[in-house]
Amino acid sequence: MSNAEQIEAAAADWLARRDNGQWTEQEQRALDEWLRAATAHRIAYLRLDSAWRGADRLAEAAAEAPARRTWERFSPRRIAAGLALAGAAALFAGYYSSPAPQNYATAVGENRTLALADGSRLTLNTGSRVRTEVGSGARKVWLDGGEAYFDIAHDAAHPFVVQAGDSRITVLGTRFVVRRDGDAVKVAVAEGKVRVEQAGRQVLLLANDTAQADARQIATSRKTPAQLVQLLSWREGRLVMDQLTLAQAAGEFNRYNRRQLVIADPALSGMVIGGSFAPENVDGFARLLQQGFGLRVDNRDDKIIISR
Amino acid sequence: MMMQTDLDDWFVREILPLEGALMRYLRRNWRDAAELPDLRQEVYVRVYESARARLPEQPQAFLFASARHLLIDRARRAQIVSIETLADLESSDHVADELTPERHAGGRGELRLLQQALDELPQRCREVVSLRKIDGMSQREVAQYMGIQEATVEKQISKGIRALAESLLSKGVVVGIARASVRLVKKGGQP
Repeated sequence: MSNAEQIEAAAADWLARRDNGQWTEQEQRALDEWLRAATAHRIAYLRLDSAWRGADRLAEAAAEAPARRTWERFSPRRIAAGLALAGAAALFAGYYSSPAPQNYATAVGENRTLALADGSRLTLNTGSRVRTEVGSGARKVWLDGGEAYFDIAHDAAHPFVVQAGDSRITVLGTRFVVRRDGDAVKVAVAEGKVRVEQAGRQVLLLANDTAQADARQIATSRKTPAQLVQLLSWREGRLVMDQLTLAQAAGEFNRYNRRQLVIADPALSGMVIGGSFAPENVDGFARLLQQGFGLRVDNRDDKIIISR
Repeated sequence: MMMQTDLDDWFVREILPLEGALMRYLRRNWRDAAELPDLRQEVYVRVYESARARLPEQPQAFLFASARHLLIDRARRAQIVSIETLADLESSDHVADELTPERHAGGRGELRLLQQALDELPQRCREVVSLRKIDGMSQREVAQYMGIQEATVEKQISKGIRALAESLLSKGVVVGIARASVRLVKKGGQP
């Protein structure tokens, strides 16, 4: 190695160490000393530093060419590793180079809006859990359960990433909702563009598009604006059901209430119903079934049993 | 005498974007490619130290004059040097034809070159740099994510920094610094 190359390697090592987030005052003093020792040191450092800072714009480049980042970057192994990391990230809270992860949860029946550090807002629906890491360098949210509505502040250089189980949702600035039921993840886009990735597959959603991703596939569906309003109706404290089966409707109510609806007769499960309800008004819904459809309603402890 | 940081800024803003042209000039006028990194360093040191006393009004003319003087010094001291090389160096002071348009790639073009520079990195190095810069992970998170040692991540970052600098600066890209278009001035008649 030539003299210049040795100096360059040393400068690169300084920068890499400085980049590792555990930079101490003592190291800074040592670096200052090294930089003062020779103009060649300073030159090498300036040169590499400018390139490394410039590489911050890679995020922008990647956002402009999303197709480049598919299979290799989102293989199942890496997604599994990413999930392991999610846990690890919580352990390393207080690590100052990245924003400290925050945990938020809503109780059953609760609905709560949070303001994030980047100006984005997120509204949690009933019984939901998220962890957020939003700061200068990164914008990430893990949806660990439930449903959340995102109103994302535009920042082209820092894509906003929502990790819901194995699905990864990447956006620049937009409004959309993500719901997680176990392994199934549903995304509905109110405005803007959203990329959903799962096990190497990816799909781009525009306004009024919805996608349902599970381990097997990503299924997309285009909704009318009115249908999308329904999907977001929980934010206004309404549960709007359009052409749902009784089983699905019961599932919706059960998300919001401790007292659970149980359809005792399988033959009833496929019955199609619709309407707009306050989510906590499960008794009103039961009465409607009783009076409007002639079904039998039995209240037992925490259960409301529906039968013929 | 100017503030150190101002001098640093000047160097990054005015001199580094000329690196691609400088390297072409050095390569064309010096046979031993292995000596190019040392020559570049020496030119930069001379320019930086002169600028400490007073900033040159025409940075690019000053950079190439420094490069030429350095090559002449070296050629005179060298054990073996081609007479043509020496004659060329001493007779010509033109450098304008070294300036080619790619350094004015502009915002979007810069992003493309940046992406290209990333793609050219060896696989593991590329993965580490991507996670760090695109996904915004810390080095520690990258280590967790990839299941490798933090020291390995740091080493790959160090390697990535050098490779990115070489690739970007050789194409005249100093990202994030907007430069007005540069007038091409041809002083001498020779190619």
